[in-house]
Amino acid sequence: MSTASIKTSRYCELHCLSNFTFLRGASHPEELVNRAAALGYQALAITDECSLAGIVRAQVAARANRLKLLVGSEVTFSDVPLKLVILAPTRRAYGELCQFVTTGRRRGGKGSYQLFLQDLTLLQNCFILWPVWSDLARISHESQVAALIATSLPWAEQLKCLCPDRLWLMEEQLLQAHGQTQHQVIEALSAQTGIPQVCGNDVHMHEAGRQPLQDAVTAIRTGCSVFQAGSHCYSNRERYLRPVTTLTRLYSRQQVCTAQFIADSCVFSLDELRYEYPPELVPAGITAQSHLRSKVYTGAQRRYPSGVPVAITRQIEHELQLIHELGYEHYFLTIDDIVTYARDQKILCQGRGSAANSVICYCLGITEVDPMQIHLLFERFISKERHEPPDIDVDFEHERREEVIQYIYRKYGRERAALTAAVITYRARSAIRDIGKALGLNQHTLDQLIHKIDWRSQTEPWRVQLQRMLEQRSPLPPVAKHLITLVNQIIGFPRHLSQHTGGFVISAGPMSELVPIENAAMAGRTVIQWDKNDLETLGLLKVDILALGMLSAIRKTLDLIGQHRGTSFGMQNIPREDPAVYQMLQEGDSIGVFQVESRAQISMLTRLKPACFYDLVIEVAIVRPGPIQGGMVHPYLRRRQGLEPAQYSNQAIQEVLGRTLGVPIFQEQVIKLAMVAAGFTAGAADQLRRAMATWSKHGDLTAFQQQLKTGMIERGHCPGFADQICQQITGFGEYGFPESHAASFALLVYISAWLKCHEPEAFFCSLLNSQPMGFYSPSQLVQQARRQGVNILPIDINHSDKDHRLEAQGHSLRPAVRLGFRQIRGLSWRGMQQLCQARPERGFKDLAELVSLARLNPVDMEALAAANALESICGHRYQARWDILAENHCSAPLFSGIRTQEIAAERRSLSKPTEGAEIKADYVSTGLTLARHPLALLRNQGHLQHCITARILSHCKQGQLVCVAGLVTCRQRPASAAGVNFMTLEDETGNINLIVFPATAHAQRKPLLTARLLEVHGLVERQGKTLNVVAGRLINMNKLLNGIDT
Amino acid sequence: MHWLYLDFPTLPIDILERNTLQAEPIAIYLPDTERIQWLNALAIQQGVQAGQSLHAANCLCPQLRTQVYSWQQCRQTLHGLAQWAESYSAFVSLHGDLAGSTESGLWLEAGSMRQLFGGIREWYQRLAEDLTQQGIRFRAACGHTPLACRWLAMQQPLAPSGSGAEVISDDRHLLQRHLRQLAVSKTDIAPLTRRRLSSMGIKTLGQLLDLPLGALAQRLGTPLVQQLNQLQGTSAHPLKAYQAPPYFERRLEVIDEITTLSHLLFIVKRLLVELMRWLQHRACGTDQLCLTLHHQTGPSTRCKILTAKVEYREQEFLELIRLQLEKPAIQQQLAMQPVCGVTLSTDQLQTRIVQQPELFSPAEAQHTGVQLVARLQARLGSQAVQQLDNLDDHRPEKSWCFIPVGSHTHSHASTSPQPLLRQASRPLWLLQLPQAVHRDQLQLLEGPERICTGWWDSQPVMRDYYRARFGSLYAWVFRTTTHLAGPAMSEHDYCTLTTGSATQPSHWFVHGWFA
Repeated sequence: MSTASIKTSRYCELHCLSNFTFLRGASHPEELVNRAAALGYQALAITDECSLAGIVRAQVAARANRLKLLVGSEVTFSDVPLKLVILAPTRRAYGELCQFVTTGRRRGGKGSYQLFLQDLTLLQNCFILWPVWSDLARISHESQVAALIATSLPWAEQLKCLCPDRLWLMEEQLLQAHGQTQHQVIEALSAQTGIPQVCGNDVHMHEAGRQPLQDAVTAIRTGCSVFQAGSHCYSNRERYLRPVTTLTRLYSRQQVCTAQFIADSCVFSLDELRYEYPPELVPAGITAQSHLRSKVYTGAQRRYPSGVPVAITRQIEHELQLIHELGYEHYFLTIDDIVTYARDQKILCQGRGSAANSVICYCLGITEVDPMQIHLLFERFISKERHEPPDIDVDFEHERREEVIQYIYRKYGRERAALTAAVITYRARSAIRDIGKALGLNQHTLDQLIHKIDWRSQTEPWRVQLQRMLEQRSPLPPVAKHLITLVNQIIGFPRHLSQHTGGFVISAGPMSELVPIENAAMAGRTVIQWDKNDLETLGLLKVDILALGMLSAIRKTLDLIGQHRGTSFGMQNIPREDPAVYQMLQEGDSIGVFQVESRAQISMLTRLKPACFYDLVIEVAIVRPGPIQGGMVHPYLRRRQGLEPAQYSNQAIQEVLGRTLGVPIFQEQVIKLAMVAAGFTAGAADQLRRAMATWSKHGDLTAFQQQLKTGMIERGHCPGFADQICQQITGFGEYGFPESHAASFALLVYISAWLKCHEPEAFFCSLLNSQPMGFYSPSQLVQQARRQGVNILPIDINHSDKDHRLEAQGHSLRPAVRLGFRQIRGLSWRGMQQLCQARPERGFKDLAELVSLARLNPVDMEALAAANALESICGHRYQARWDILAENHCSAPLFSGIRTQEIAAERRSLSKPTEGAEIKADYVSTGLTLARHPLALLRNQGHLQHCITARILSHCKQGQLVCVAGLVTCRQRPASAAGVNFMTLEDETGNINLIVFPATAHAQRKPLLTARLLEVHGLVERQGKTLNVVAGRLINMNKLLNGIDT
Repeated sequence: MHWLYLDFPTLPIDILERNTLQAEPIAIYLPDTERIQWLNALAIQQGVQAGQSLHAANCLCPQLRTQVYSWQQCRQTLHGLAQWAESYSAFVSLHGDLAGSTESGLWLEAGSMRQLFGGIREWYQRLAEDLTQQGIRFRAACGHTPLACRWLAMQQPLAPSGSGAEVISDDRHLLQRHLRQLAVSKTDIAPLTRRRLSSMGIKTLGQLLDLPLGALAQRLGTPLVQQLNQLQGTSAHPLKAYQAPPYFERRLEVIDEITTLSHLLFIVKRLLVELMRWLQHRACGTDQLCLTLHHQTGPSTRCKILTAKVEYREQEFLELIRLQLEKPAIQQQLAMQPVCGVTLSTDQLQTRIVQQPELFSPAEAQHTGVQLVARLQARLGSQAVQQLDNLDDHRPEKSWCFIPVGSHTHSHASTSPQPLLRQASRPLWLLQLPQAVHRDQLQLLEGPERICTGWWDSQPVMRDYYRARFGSLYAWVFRTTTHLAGPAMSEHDYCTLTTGSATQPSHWFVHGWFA
């Protein structure tokens, strides 16, 4: 091969869309980069339409392939029929491009953009490529060369004025009609205006085989099927990365060389982006390091008022050293600033995440977990070898997180603080629905397919099920054969950008010069175009501002206790390691307690019998799909109960697994184990962690498993042990829970358990005031509270407030809980306010006074009557309703004259509701009743006599045949235990746990799914304190429930 | 006046059930809520219930066939029933004619007809049998006001299985007794008012009627009082008399897609029976029917059926339709694109004996072109007279089609971006079948334009087109480019398409001539 031919076989692609140009591009950025590298391209530009969302992924692949990646974007203007490709040659040009894209995106609604030709003035350093033909083909009615030139000449002149010397005419030969004409037009235009020519290929996919998918996404975009899409779809499949030899045949040498020249002139790489910390956190004249140090020591004085122990000082110094080496001072200062604000505003918060459980975070008040209490090592969470930023998530009260977010916006300005994006991708269901529609399949057929697939089946994966169903539905059009292929291809394709739950990025300069910003769906919110993985790749720091319902409930409880005791009461006033709290948890009495209130957790509590804080850390982490699927639960419990010994192959392994009796329960242990037992380097172990986080989505762990096994066997571990560890890691998958998170959660478990144990009135009152949250409905919480001896008082027009509150009881030291108006369905927030403001000190004396003072709207009045809140002034709810309806219409001027006499004359007494009707009305209006439980009433009426209550059930023996009945409060089918249904029934004495095995469930599907009141014949299965009824026969008793009010 | 109300609460499901060949669980849901509204006995057996979400219903009964509610179809059937009812009563009125309504019912004036049948029960008996034979379930009641009989009927058991005969009577006191026992919750009273009444413990109409009307008006508004007055006959309840339209049009949807001729004929026959009844009732016939087959995707297929003389008998029409449908083209289409619905219509009503006018007779000379076409079609068959239309498809042979004169295709083309430059590169004269030529005969002038698309309908195309000189003529030629076949489609797919030259990897064809 001669030198000349080698030279001509170089090629740089300057116009290429990835699937981040949603529903146009048909290949992932990394597919494009990999393919371009394989074909021997010199450079590739990713030019998604007004977006840089896919560029970081492309960068990762480009780095690995050593391919030059150009950053650019394609835009179509709103005011002129022009489409341009913009490339960023330098960091400065990149900043302009980000600003340009931001401008367009901020003008448009979510997912759209709006740019005007004048905006090009923003771009003083960018390269502009004009694919002339794509515009002409859209607008021109002529096919004569002269006419086409006449049409395009004014545009060329205008563009030349806007961006002289940085403009090229781009020829794109895609083997469509008029190829020669295109060439002639561009030649002539170039000759007349002096604008140079270059070539490009409007690439939409990495290989030609993606054409069906490209057509399908086009159909999805245009809202029709491929049969109807017609000329919306392209006429051929040339928009792929074509071989260099083909391209050099299509274009002139000059054009190819110009492309090369442009690529060479682009010296910007995303790796240049350096994160600069906001400077205002450090006072002038002090270094960040010394500022952090002084803050930490001030905090330490507060934490250890009687003097900071030597060990702590040593640890602080160690951590400060590490932070300094990695340059993370600003990060800790940023979080400290946010947490300080929250503390000042009395917003409860709690940090968690890899770096949150350091002594430094404890001293700064980011976490309340004393790291010495659980001996967590800082290095476990932040390490020099892994060049990743530390990760601290901060949970705030869910009702007040917005205040914190607004503070961040205020402090750093909208242009410097933005939320991270979350890339929403196609998942199986959405893929089947959209691709199916694009293939012209009946919407309804698709719905049925989707409904009928058992997504959690472990025996038959959904793809197999789909295939089978397609084969069974014989009269399907032949096009359906493409469904599975295309669905598989489109799964994982991005659909749109959404906002991350709370990931904030804060920058020193304008954010929009670092990354484009666009509007989120929520008004007033903006998101950057990158997600958290992108940020991690580029080494940019983010802070997670998350919301947690339990923190709201805890803060409210603490406030109530403070009010009631007359002194302020905080988390620090709660004594640690209180045996009564552990006693309560060991009994499985945990309804309302953070994290451990679910049925599975309750059953674990009674078996694990937590007796110290670290047991709670394990409790939080062990009842999760990861450890359950990995088969870690039973070995751990057996060892804990002393039924089998914990064995370690060597000292190193004992160090890793010692604290969990030889069973890996935390994510960190798995990583460490890979290093200690299989000789993984820190980097490889970190890759394993990432692979674990996403393996269910993207691929498998086979390679890692092999490496683990060989590594372990080489190091003298027996193959059985290696297999077991591998299996556990696979089971772990994305569900593994890090110890650092578990420790933070465990603290909240302890706090909430203490509050429940010692201050049940305040605790339940606050839980009810923080709804919706947690696992149980208000009705279940109220019943549980009453069982615990809490006196609950009904909603009353003259005694209730908006929220539930504590009410002193004359005869008792303990207060009662008075239900608040917030429990009433359909009562407006404004109505409640008006009501509370207008209420006289002594209360409303009658309905007329209520009407004239509170001026509630009719809907609110009816809601009050329905909740029986008017009983003290109107009598029973039927009567109240009759009376207020008259008042409502009286307030209309038409009736004003006849008002009082009429009412007096027609004061009619309606009959009182029956007890059953009262109960039903209570449930309808407030979701709970303080009257008898429906089951008690039914039994009283002579029904369900053969069924035993939950209380009697608790005394039954293993294997005993029983018959129980109750309201169905929970139906669950966890992903774990294959196909087993768990149900909870509630009667007047407590809850009954049911286990329904698949055969039973299948045979009695009807009552299983439809009963609200269920009668069950089954066998008692008990294990220590845990008692379940294994269901045999299920009987739907809804009829009884429906007839309760007659 | 005395009234009978026929309520058809299961009409949507009845329509489907009588059109299906085999019994299977069926449910119909409302499109906006995706909740099951109607279902057949088999579905009930499986535990499906009205009000369930589609998802829950599918979980309970995986073999459940579900279909979305079609008001259009119900309304057509209801109109059909009204036309039928005209043979039992001089005055018929519809309920459920408002767009989107999910209710269907008929009022029949009962007073005047009972003499003819020897009593109201005998009259009802005949009517009920006739209705049952049509595969329609109903519930019925008599009353002295339209509202009374409707509310009574709505709370009767479903006939034919239920008896419900107690409220077929003209005994005013008896009916009033029944009326007082009705549950307020199952009447037509506005939902909000119903809820309010229930929240005051008022459950039966009796309880409600005992309350003073003034107090009720004050609390619950005048519409309720107006309704109660209409119920009792103290205020008027005007009903609109049903009037049959001057044309016949019925559409039948099927739950199974139709892929066989016999199934299709089964459906068509049902429509023809209705047509015969309709024509008989009007003492007229027709010589022109239009049968439209609706497909899941793509435009509908229309067949025009012309008879030699004015006809009304179902058998005669069926024979003609069978002949049309037995054509291979239609059969093939049936296999490719299953039918999901059938419409039968005619607006060419004629009295039964009619003189056929002569073609081109002097009296008809000034006929317009449209009329001429109609005449030609009548004589030659509608297939013989057609017009051309554009289709939006990149494949040349699929970018045009024949359509019946005066109609237009329902393709998506109108909303597509018009490829303005494309037309210019294509010849007006396109050959029906490309003709093979030798490469040496061609002098290529411009190209290639690669057309590679159509993977979805089993007729993919993969060709390179050129403008070429063929002797003294300008031709539009293409070369099959099988060597370019990528991984998505097998080479075989492309070869078979290009006119049978599968054995040769690359071949040249003339596809059209430029002027």
